[in-house]
Amino acid sequence: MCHSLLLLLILTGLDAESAYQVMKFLAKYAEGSGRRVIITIHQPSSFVWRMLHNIVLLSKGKLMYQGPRSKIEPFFAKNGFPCPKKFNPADHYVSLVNDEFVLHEKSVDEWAEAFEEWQEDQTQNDDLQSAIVVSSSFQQSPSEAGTRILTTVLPSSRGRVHVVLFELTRRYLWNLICNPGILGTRVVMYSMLSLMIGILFFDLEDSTSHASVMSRIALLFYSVAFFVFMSVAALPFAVIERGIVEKEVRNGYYHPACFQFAQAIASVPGTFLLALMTTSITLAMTDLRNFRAYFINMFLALNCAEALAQLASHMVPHFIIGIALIAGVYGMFMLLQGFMLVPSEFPSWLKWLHYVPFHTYSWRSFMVNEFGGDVHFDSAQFPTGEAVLDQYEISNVNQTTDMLILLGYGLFIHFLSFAVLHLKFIRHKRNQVTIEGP
Amino acid sequence: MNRRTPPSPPPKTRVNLGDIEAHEQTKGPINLTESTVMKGTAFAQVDYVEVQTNKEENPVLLHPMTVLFPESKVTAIMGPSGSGKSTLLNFVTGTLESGLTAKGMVKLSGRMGFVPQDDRLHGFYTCRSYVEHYSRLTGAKDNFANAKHSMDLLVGLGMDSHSDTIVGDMFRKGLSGGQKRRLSIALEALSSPETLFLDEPTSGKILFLSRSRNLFMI
Repeated sequence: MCHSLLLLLILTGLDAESAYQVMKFLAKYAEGSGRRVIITIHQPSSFVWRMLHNIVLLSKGKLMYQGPRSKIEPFFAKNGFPCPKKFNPADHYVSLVNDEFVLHEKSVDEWAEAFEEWQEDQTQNDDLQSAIVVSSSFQQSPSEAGTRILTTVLPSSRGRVHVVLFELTRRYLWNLICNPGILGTRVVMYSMLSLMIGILFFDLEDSTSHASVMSRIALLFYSVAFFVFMSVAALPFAVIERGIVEKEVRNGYYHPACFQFAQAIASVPGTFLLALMTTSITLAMTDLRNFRAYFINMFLALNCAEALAQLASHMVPHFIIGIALIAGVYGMFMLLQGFMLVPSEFPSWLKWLHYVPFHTYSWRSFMVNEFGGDVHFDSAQFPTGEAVLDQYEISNVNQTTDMLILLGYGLFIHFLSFAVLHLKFIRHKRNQVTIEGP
Repeated sequence: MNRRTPPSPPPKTRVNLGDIEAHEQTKGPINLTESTVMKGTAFAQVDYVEVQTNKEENPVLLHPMTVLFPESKVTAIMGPSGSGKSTLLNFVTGTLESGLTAKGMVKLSGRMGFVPQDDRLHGFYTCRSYVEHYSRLTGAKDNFANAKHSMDLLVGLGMDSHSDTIVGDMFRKGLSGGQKRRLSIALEALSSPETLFLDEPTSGKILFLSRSRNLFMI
């Protein structure tokens, strides 16, 4: 017990020093510069207390005191509660105005009234007088104040757009390289699963049995469904990134579209790497056909998945909800992609749903890539590759068109991200309407 | 560079603040449209901030009040938990959460810089490279910030000895909680906003204080 106390005391000392340094810096920042610093603080230490100039004391949403720190003691002393000697004044005042406990002396309403009376007495408070005059002149203004908050906003500090784009892209790329959570874990997971596929379906292409046909179809379904699904791993970090970006947008450094643009560009190398790795390992071991087409398909599908993860990250309050949302969407997409149920078997009024998932275009292109052309099997049901494609109603599919659709699909999701960010930005700006001085 | 006001006389409570003069001298250009009458009378007038419900009476988060924010001063919004400190701060910065309805007005001149309560930082930057990145990102580098200005900020916050330490994340160890806090402040102060908002700038440290106090009580 003694040891831990000692340790805590050392920590306390260090941290009080740290808090003191912060306050010292803030006081210096404001002092004599015309700038102002506004902080919220729960319970300042007596060190920190001495460095505050102006106090706004609230309780239950009501104003308990506002004004110079030097006058707060006269106010509480006048009302019969001076700060005891050797007591942290901040603790004293904050506990006085807290009426949630049985042992309070005055209720919040009583304190609020006491302060109003005291404030009226303080006629020498010129600042307050002038502010009240100013505010009443605003009330007369015909602006649609309504339920809005009016804030004078002067030009924000922004770098030039190309510099901002360059900086954000570079930052995202560095994050990709340095933060194993974004790409590293997926590299490990994708390569392990590709290896496992390779081991289970080793030299699959050499076999022409009926079972090998079924294995090929299952493998291609898995390639689309699972590798796309795994992109949810990027979501927690995309949400962390969003927090940082929101802070920067709030401080007016750039329009959020700049960030989405940078994120879209910077996520390409990672997707490229994952697609290349997965394709290389899987195809080297299973010997499936046409490396280039397989890779392009995988790359474009992962690109869509990455874009969708980014879109979700802009919309959800917490990444766990994002993961649940994306998992739900992908579950739905897998159902609709044409593997579980061929398009003609869909209820007629739901047929269009088959064309919604990007999985549809990716999976059928994988199938055409594998079964298209002159391929023969030792199977009564599927004597040729063409028979397999006929079974799934995808014999007329054009791979190039589907690849273009996948490319467009990814771009469209990025566009939706832009739209979401822009709408959020407009809402943020609407809360900050510029008003002219009187 | 431009300065809006001549140096003011030393305030009554003079604090020895160390050598970070360069920060003030290199302040960026200021576009003031307000008349001089308005100077120093930044204020927030709250009519109400309520939680939006379908009931007749909405739960009130902030009652009517007019709060002044004098210039060249550090204003602290204090109160017990749930007293409305953060709500008032968000009201002033115009970033109230959705689901709240509010009426009132805020008068503040110049740019605002906001340091949120949770440190939102990238783990891979060192303090120095983070400041450099921000000075390019915010355009501060083009206007007034130079290497000395950046370094002075880190010195002012006692971070100079950590300037080559990475921020750190769940995979790699880096700055401590208090150091991250100070870096966040340095990053926002870099572009010299006229009003700097900080949500609980000394939290984390205070947590330790109250914890140790509890131990004593045991």
